[in-house]
Amino acid sequence: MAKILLVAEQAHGHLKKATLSALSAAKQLAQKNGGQIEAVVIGAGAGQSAQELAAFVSAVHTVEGAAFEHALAETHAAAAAEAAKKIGATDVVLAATAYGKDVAPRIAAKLGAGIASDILAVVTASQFKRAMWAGNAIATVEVTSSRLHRRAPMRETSSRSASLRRQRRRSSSSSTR
Amino acid sequence: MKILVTVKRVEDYESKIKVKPDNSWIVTEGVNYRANPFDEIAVEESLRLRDANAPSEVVAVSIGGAAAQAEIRSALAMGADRGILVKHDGFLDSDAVARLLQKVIEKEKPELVLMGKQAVDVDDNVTGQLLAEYLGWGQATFASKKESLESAEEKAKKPGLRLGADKKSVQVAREVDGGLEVLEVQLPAIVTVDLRLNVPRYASLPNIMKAKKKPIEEMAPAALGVDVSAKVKVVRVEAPPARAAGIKVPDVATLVKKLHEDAKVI
Repeated sequence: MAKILLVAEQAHGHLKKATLSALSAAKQLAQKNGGQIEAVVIGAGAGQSAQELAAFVSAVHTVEGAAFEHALAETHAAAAAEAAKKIGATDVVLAATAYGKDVAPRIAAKLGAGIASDILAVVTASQFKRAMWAGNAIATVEVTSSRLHRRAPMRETSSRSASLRRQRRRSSSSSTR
Repeated sequence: MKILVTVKRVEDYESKIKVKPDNSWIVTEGVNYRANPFDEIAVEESLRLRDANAPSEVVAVSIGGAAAQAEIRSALAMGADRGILVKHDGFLDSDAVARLLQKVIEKEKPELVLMGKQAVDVDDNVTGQLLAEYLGWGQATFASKKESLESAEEKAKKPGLRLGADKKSVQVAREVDGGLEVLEVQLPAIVTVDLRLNVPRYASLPNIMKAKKKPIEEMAPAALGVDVSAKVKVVRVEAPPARAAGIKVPDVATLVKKLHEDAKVI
């Protein structure tokens, strides 16, 4: 079965809001490939953040320790790639924040995976929509072999689909409950 | 020290981008090309670092068709010392570009690689990070600086990246969500630059003439031993949905009702 690894973004035991957008993208992908979502939380306070996330995914893995205290691409990508290998992830999803953009390509390189960055919508299990030429064109890209995605929830483009937006709101409201 | 800097040939951001009727790509006829603006910032930074740390050399690398020579020449006209063109016609995904650059870097052995954070055509923002991982090097993405672009440091063309006294590391102020973060990276390293690092210089006429005599070495992907088949393919390109016209509402109650029921924002 397909397994999707969500790489959460957190600081000092609190999840960053963008993680919820990545979660909703992971859920859309799960609908397409029938996969299960597991999450990995890295850095100081990961245990606490993991509790926050536990209700939304089937399993949460944590990586803590002095080496992961600062959100550095080198160490965090290594930890995330290790987690992806361990669970046999077919897809890895991150939010397209400064952190996600820094870390995601290094995970892709470690896994030998293709990467679709700043995705706006999930078309099929391997096809994604993303903006090119500064939003003057919307491309559908196909990622072959194993896949890695990061999603741009905060992008203020007219192309952002309504369904994605709704899903994001649902997930963020359920987290405050 | 040796600094390698990348220059990609991209569609001019001032050109109107139109999608082809068969949705395969954008219309390229009648479109102007230029060097990726983020790469120009990287070239500028490499020149400032070179001039502040003599003796140093700046090598400008581009991957693309024969036409990409023009973008290498523009980097040479700004002041780069020599160029390398990895000749390939047609689309390459960012992963293939990273693997090609890896081979060029293994040959050239620079201490520092500067690149734009993304190219303004496909807007991927992944090549520098992929390259750093393939090389096993450290990275600093979104390089910026604390000083403003109106500051005296900028006017004096001081480098925004601070090279360590032993030239074994570099301090980079990175633009991250909600502020700047200063990283110290051991060299060799990959630094990708953001918009607010510097204002690139214009090439002067004498320098444009001088650039014509600077050497450009050509390499082929096959000779570098790189399989350039894509991990990410573009299957369709569409125009973004047209923005719907706005409406006028008679009163606040209707506005609230519409925001709640139609727009679903409150």
